[in-house]
Amino acid sequence: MAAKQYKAIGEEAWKNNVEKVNAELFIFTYGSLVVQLVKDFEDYGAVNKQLDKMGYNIGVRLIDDILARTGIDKCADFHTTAEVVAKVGFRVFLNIAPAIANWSADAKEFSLILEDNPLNDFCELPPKAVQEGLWYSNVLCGVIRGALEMMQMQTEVWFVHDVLRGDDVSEIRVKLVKILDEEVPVGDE
Amino acid sequence: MKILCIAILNRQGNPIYMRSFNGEDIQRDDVKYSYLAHTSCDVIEERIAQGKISDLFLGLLQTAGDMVVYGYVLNTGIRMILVMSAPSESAVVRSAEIRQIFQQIHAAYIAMVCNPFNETREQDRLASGRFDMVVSQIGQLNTK
Repeated sequence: MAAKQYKAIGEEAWKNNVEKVNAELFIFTYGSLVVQLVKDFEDYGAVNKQLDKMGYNIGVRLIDDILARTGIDKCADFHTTAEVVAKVGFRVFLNIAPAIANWSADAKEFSLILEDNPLNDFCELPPKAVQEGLWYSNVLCGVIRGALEMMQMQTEVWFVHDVLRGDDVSEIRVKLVKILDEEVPVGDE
Repeated sequence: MKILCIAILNRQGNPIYMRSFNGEDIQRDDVKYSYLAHTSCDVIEERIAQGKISDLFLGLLQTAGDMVVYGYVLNTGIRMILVMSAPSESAVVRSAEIRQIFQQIHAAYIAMVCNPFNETREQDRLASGRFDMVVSQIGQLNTK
């Protein structure tokens, strides 16, 4: 499937097949979740890990939802996977279209560039959070990791830049660690 | 006409934010504006007590020497005060302009309150970099 088709699939799914909720409700819920985690853990590294774990749990469930909604079939290579994540995944769930960039030489790593992240609306990180490395939208990294793992790809996903920390754009790096082969039961010979 | 000071007070009348734009003598100015803010409180209470407020903009509250004070109240009880230098004879002050300034401050206030990390309610003080920036920009404008 060509890249243009994924974009069209994503937009069509967003228009027709998706129930929508008030954006502010979602943003406030996420915001108070992060603030509560910060208060509970008091260590920004631990908060990042928790957000990633939560995202992972969301991702493993979300992947079935999106495949059912859009009817996309197996991706031929990691490039196609990147397209699907960016043009379909992000479009259907957040209605944004991150750009794919910075492919590594071995085609196993790429970056998602998010120019506007709806989770960040209204948010202003306190200086301490910036200093100690809080990634506010880290849940997104977990979602990507969980979803790809269900598609037999073990990945590492992390934030590289974030507008809330003063960078121009937000950037998420996705690295393919290995393909998880389905275990073939040993037959009796 | 120049904007001299923007102050925000909470329901009890305590100032939670004060920003002056004159720059000459900060210490004395702050005291002066605090005094104006407190006296304006009484006028605001009066206006509120008069009846149901249909309009957030309260208009001219008082004049003090060469300064004029405008007021604006939010539905949550937060009051905003705008102190400006008195207009010269030829200048006509349109309340629409003042109203617009207040609406800009109101919008910035909402954006700040929506920040999940914001602690204005607990600390009873407004501390937000973004809000400061917006207020500075508004203050730089000199209405004619």
